[in-house]
Amino acid sequence: MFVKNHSYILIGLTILLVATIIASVCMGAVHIGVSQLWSMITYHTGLSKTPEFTTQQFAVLFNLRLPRVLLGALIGAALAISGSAIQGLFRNPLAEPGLIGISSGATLFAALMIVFGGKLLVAIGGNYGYYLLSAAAFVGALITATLVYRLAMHQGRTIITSLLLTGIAINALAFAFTGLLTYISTDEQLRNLTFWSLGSLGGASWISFGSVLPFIAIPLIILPFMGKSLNALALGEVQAGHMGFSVANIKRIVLLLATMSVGASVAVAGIISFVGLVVPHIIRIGFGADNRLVIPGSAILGAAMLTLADLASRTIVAPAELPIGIVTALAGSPVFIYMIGAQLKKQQV
Amino acid sequence: MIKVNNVSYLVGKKEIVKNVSFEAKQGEIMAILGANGAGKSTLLKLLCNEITPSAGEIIFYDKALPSYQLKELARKRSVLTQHNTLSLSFTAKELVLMGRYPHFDGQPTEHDLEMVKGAMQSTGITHLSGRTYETLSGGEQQRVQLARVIAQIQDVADGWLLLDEPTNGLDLLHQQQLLIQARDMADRGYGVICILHDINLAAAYADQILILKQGKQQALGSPDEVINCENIHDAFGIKVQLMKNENFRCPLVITTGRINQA
Repeated sequence: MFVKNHSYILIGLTILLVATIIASVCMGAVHIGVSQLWSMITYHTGLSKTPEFTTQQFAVLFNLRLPRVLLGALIGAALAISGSAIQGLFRNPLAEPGLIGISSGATLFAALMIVFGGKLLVAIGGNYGYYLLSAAAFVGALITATLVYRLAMHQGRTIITSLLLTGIAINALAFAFTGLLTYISTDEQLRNLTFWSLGSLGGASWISFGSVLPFIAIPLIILPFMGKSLNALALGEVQAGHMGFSVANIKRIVLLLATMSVGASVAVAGIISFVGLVVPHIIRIGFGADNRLVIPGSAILGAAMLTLADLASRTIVAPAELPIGIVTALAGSPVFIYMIGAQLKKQQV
Repeated sequence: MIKVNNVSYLVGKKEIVKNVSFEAKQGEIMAILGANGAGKSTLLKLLCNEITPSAGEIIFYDKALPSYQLKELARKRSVLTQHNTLSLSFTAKELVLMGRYPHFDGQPTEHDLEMVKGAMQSTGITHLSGRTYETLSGGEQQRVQLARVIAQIQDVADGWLLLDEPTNGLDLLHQQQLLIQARDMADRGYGVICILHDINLAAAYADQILILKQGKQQALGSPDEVINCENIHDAFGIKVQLMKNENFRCPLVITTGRINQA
C-alpha cells in the first residue's frame, strides 16, 4: 500500500507542475495561446509544416520565457528539497535554509566574489563566471550550515532557540558585511548586490540555467534516496544507529547536498525565502510525514509553487516586475506564523 | 550468546561500570536491577555497542562486538531505549515499519509488512495503526516503540532484544503482557536482556538477575539465589520483607521502609 499511494501522489504533483509550466510559458506581456504553443512544438519537431505563430512569439518564448520558467522551476525544486532534507536532519519542521542563515552565508560569499573577484569573473568569461559564483555561494552555504549545526545540535537534539538565534546572528552578520561591501563596490556591482537581497529570476538565461543545473540536479537525484535514513533519524540519532544507520554519513551527505542546491539557487536568483519552509509543510499536512514521499514530493511541488510565484511577480504589476522574494514572503509568512503556533500547541499537550 | 568479560566504563576518572562479567544465553531472560545511577543503562549501552568499554570485552555470538558492521548488528538485535521522542508526526504503522528498515532497501516487501502486522498484533496496537504518534498516550507510545523493536528481529530466529525499562508508562495489564511476550520470545529462542525496576516482575519472569550497585556487580544468579533481604537492602537502601506465595516460584518482596544510613 505504501508504494502505490506514493507514486499516485507524485504523479498527481507532476501533472500540477506541467500545468503550471505551460500556463507560465503562455502568459505574460506577449500572449501565446496553448494551441500556438502546440504548433511551435509540432513545427520545430517536424510534425507539422505550417507554423501558426509569429517569429516574435517564438523568440520571446524560446529566448526569454522558457529559460526563466525552467530556471524558476529548478530553483523552486532546489529550495524545497533542501528545506525538506534540512528539516529532517535538524529534526525540526521549522528549520529552513533562509531562516537559519544558510542562504545569507551563500549571499555573503557570492557578494565577496562579485566585489573582490570581479576581475577574475571577467577574465574567465560569463559562462564560467556563473560556475565560480555558484561555487562561492556553495562554500558560504556549507560553512554556515556546519556552523549552525554545531551550535544548535546538542546530544542529537535540536535546541530550537539556539537554531533560530544562530540564524538571526548569521543573517545579521551577513547583512552587515554585504552592507559594508556596498561602500567599496562599483555601480554595477552595487546593482548586482541589491538584486541578491531581494531575490529575482530576472537574470534568467540559458547560460544561467545551464550553469546551476549540475549543482541542483545532483541533490535532486540523490536526496530522495535519503528518505529512509531521515525517517530513522526522526526517532533520534542513537535509535537510528541501533537500526543500522550511520548517522555521521547521513549528516555529511544531507548537509553537503542541501547546501549545494541552496548555494546554486542563491548564486543565480538571490534569496527567495519561505519556499523551503512552506512546501515540505504542505506535503506533510496533505500526505503524512514519511520522508520517502516528503522529499521528492517537495521537489515537485516546490517547482510548481515557484513557477506560479514567478508568474505572479511578472504579471501583477506588468509591465513592471515585483521581486519574487516579495511574493514568496507575502504568501509564506502567514503559513510560518501558523506553524509556530501549531508547534507551541503541540509542546503544551 | 552474549559474553561480558571484566567490562568497565569510565567517564573521566569516574567508573560508571566496574568490572562486570556475565553470560546471557538465547532462550533466557536476563533482568538487570539496581538503584538509580547504578550503571544499568550504561551497561545496556555497552551491550548494544553504542559506547565501547574502557576495559574488558563483549563477545556477541562468536565475535567481539566492535567487529560488527552497524547493519549487521541491526539485523541481529534490536534495542528499546529509555527516552523516545519523535520529531515528525508519523503514524503508528509507519513507525513500526521503521523497525524493518535494516531488512529492505527502497520499498518494504510483503514479508516486511507481514512482520509489521504481526508485531502490532502481539503488542495489541493494531487499533492505533493510523493514529499519529503524538496523539497517543505515553503508554501507547511505549507499546508502539516496542512493536517497532519486535518487528526488527521477529524473523531472526536467534536474535536479541535489549530493553531499557520497557515497562515505563505501562499499566499493570500491559506490564504483565510485555513480560509474558518477552517470556514467550525467549522460549522461542530469542535472548532478552531487560532493565527493570519492579523486583517482583523480574523475579517472576527472568531466568537470571543481575543486580548492580554503583557500577559493580553485586549479585548474579537465578531469582531464588539473588532475591533475598540482604541483596535488596544493599542495592536499594530499603527495608524489605519476603513473603512466600504458592503462586510464585520466588518469594514476593514487600518494602517496609528506608533503612537508617550509617
